[in-house]
Amino acid sequence: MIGFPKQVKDFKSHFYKNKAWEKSFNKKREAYLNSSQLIEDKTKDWRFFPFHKILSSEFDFNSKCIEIENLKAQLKDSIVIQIKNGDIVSYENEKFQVVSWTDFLEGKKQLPSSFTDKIFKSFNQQRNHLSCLNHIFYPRGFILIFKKAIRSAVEIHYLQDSLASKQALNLRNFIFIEKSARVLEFFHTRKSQKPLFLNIQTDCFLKEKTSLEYFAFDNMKEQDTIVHQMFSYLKKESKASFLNLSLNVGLSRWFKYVEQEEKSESKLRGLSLMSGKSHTDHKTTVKHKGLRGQSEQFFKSFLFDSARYVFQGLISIEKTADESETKQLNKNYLFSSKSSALSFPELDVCPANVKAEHGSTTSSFFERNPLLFYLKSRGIDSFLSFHLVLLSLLKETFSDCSKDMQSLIHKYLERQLALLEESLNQDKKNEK
Amino acid sequence: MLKIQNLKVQIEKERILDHLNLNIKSGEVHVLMGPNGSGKSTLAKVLAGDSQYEILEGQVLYEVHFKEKDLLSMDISQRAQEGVFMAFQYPIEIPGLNNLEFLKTAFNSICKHQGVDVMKEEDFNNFALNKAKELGVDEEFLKRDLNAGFSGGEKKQNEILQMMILSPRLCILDESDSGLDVDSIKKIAKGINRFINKDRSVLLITHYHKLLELIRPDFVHVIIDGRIRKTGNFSLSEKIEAEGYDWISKTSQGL
Repeated sequence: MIGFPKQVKDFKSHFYKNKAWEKSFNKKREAYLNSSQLIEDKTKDWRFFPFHKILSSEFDFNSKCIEIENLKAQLKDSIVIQIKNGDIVSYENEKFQVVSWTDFLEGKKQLPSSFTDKIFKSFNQQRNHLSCLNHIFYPRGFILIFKKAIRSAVEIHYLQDSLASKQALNLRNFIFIEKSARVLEFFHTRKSQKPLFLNIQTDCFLKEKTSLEYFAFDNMKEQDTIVHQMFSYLKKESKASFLNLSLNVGLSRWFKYVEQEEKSESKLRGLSLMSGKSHTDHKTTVKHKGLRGQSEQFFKSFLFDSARYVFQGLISIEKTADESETKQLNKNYLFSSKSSALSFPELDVCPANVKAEHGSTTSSFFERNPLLFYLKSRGIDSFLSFHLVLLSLLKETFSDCSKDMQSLIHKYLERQLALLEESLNQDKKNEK
Repeated sequence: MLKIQNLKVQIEKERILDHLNLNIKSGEVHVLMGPNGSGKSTLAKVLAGDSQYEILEGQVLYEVHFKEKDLLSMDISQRAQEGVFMAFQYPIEIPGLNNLEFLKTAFNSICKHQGVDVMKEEDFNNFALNKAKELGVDEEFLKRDLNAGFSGGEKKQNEILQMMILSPRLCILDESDSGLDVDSIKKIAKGINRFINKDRSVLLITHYHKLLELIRPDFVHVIIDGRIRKTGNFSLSEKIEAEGYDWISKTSQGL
């Protein structure tokens, strides 16, 4: 499926056809690249926000590493740290332990029992939810340290109820993987609430021969904005898999940076289902630094109404990363003539002996589509055909995730699709 | 069952079918042969409801409950629900959609349209499994995603399996034998022979005589430049196999 099918060729790129759009895009991008304003000012147009400015000003990998290592050394082998006002969560002996900053300074290793009971009761009720933590602490971030392999996934829920006092929130999270782990992050907001701006930076550190499955679901609303930056450092022979699912957030920007050492593997996946005037950016940088590393990127978007999607993915293979293998693919599905997708798959390869492939496709579903035609020709009506095709295209993205994860995502998607279809039907009724 | 009258079709202003006429009665097997680009597959797609073709003239009448209905005015899925089935020349791959799940959805959609009770999941699974055994294909077919990673032969066999499960009244097979080895052709023929009865009809599009030896059709039509130029029986396909289409083109000039 590399390259444009015939029917898309004529259509391809509103970007190139529509000069006004191109001009407006370049103008906005230029303005932001030269601007020192950060995104928190919501009165400004945020649509072409420069990630690299934030990164260069805020992130200093070496100093952060030292800071964290120092804190870890003070804490010996058990409970943990925090940064600023954040929560501290450690997973050990198959139990979570939480300590506030004050408790830690006073040398207490446990919270008051009533407090702990409340938290663990909530854990039991909600299967490892950490939502209660958000609710109680209004955190500025968390640290998760996985010292033992965890069987079920850790779920982190950002609830708007707990964030209601703030319209903008910056979170700084750290995840240390010393054994294998799975983390699920959910962002929930309600339409009736005030517009929310979330700016999250998460750093993941994987020790040698460890693995991480990381899922982030944003279930926010069209008035909301989320900027999620994730930096991952994979030591020798470690494996990391990341999946992002964006559903109809007004503006969502995902930046992923992965640095890989020898024989490490990374998989980045992104799914975006968008309608209205939503805009999603996926920007990725995967750096191969060691020998025989493997990486894979697979990003898909499903665009309704006037939704827009931009993919900008860079694979960089340094001189030291001989015999690396890498794949990058971006597929976009346009369900309306007003929706648009832009794709910039990029390769930067130094050594000679590597396998690297990348590509991008954009297909239109608002004209005659062979998949829908095939299903309809078997007696399945338009609506159900559309549903089946959409689900199958979505499932393709996470087909090699673990089975229980697949089942969880599938259920989640079905529920969201039902809601999406319901809203599309309602729109059609209103139009009539 | 099917009456095609004076059908004129074009795509991107290029005429493909030109005053085409064809009658198919219940229980009959018709074969459509012709050189490449003569309009065979276009006819199949027009009957299935492909919207990329523009109908300029003519009509297609399809008998439903002893009443003739205008097939061309029906939606694609409605045609299938009324019993029209097209086996694709190039079946589509849909990774992520389970074959059995897809067939169950299609089967139940047809049942609902025809006012028949839908089958329970377990009953349908057994029914589909029996059909696979009847055709002689591996039951793994049903567990895999729809045509994903199938070989050319497997895709064609899967089309025939779909036909057997969905039990249409009119089946249009668009080059279901092309690119197949001898054993696969036998399986396809077996499926078609089991499918045919007095209430069902087949329109088979092919280039090869081999499949026809195993099916023995009632009529063989030759289409050239979008129009049926010659009609005969099985012996016509034997003559085409030996001599090609040139003699028909020459004799039909000026028609």
